[in-house]
Amino acid sequence: MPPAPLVASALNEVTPDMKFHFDYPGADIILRSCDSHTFRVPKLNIINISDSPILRDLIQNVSNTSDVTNGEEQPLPTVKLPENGATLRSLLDCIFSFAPILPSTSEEIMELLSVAQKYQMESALAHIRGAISLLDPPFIHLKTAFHHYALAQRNELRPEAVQAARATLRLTLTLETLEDKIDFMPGAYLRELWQYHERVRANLKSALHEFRKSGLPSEVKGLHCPSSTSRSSSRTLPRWLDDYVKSLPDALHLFSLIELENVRARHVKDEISRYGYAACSSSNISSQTICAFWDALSAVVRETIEKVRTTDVANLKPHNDNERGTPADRFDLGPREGRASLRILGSLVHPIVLGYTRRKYHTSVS
Amino acid sequence: MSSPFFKDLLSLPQPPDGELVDGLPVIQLSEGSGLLTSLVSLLYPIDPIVPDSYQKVFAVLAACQKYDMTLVQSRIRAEMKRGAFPGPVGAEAFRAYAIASTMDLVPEMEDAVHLTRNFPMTFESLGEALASFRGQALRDLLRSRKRSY
Repeated sequence: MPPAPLVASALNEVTPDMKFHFDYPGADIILRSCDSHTFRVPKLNIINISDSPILRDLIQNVSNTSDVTNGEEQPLPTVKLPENGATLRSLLDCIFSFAPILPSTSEEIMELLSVAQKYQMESALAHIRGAISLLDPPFIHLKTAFHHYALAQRNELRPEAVQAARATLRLTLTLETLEDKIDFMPGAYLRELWQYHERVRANLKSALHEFRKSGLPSEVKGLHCPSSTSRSSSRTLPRWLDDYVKSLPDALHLFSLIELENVRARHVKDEISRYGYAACSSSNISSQTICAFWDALSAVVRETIEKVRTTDVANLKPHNDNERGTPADRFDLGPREGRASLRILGSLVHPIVLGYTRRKYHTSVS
Repeated sequence: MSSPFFKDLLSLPQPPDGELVDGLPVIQLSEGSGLLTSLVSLLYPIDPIVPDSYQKVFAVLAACQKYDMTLVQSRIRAEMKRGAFPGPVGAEAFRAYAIASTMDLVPEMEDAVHLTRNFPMTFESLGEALASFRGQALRDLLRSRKRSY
């Protein structure tokens, strides 16, 4: 069923609350948000277009229990949902519109994705992610990576967590340098991120070792540098280039063509100051050779990171800082089952019984 | 009574349908039996039941905080200072800070900051303790360490 135009989308009407107003032609059910906004929609559209088995069941349950009276107009059945009006409005836009409008903040976008994921709305998820991919600047980039990583973890959004974790690979990950970036990052997420970095680093070391040994493109094999002292060894790259490749696992922020050119320029400068001229063949290395080398190196780095991403990020359970519980819940001092008496207290004990959920302390006077 | 909280609670009339055990009214508490054993033992002139780890001591301190048992809390802190109650040792201080922060135990947080100064604050040194940090605790510890140097 093609989406019909909205009767009263009313985004710009007088009262602020009206921006959530949603009245679709042929509405036969009401979705009510946790903050009491109502959305009148045809249930068939929700069931068919949203493709959400969870919403389908919720709607069918409500429909089955609504009263039917002969000939009298009845109020529409209402499905109460735990999401707020803004999120529901965005979600409905994704269902009923070909061009969903993303919420304005990262938190709201992640919330929207999370709700679509919760209701198993695969097409809406693809729709939203498609819209996100068109954002400029990109939704997840170097400056937003840490924040978006934490948000994605909190909302259990695996693809976004993976993407953000990858973006952080270009940042130096030490606790001291992260002070201003980890305001609300639970330690568990940060530890997971660090472990991800460690795995990437270990895999890169191994992959780049293999690359230096046997994966070099033929164009760079003829490069020669007199500063390389180990000509008899298995070294097939000039030392400056070899050192650059070797440094990458521990300094992935250097992984860029610009950095590579910087390293080469520094090397040539050193050569000139040492010999009075650029003795290294890298000084006049062709752009074709550089490109061939860079493409080969990039492929190794990218494939290695890709392999890590599929299994090692976003396996955490959500951490809700509000769910602190009582200290005793987490650091229970003894068995919770059974029954014991605190008769050690003798006659000093107040004549009451101190109990807790599954066990009681009998502190009677003995 | 050591606790204004319990003083108020026990002054309230018991509900007519309240649970009784051996004719005594029952007050349900959320703490576990071991914790209550320690806590109650500290209220009376008997040998206290000493928790066997600093985490459990912190839990008793948090319960004292919850039930306004300031005198008992002070006594536990004094016992910790003289080593009669276990406290965090060495690099345990990182996890101790995280736990104390979760329980809002400010003096224990301050003690832990002091103890952590003997160790670099790195992913490696924190290890699994990192996962115990919630909310802003990690950032706060970083800042507190800087201030204390």
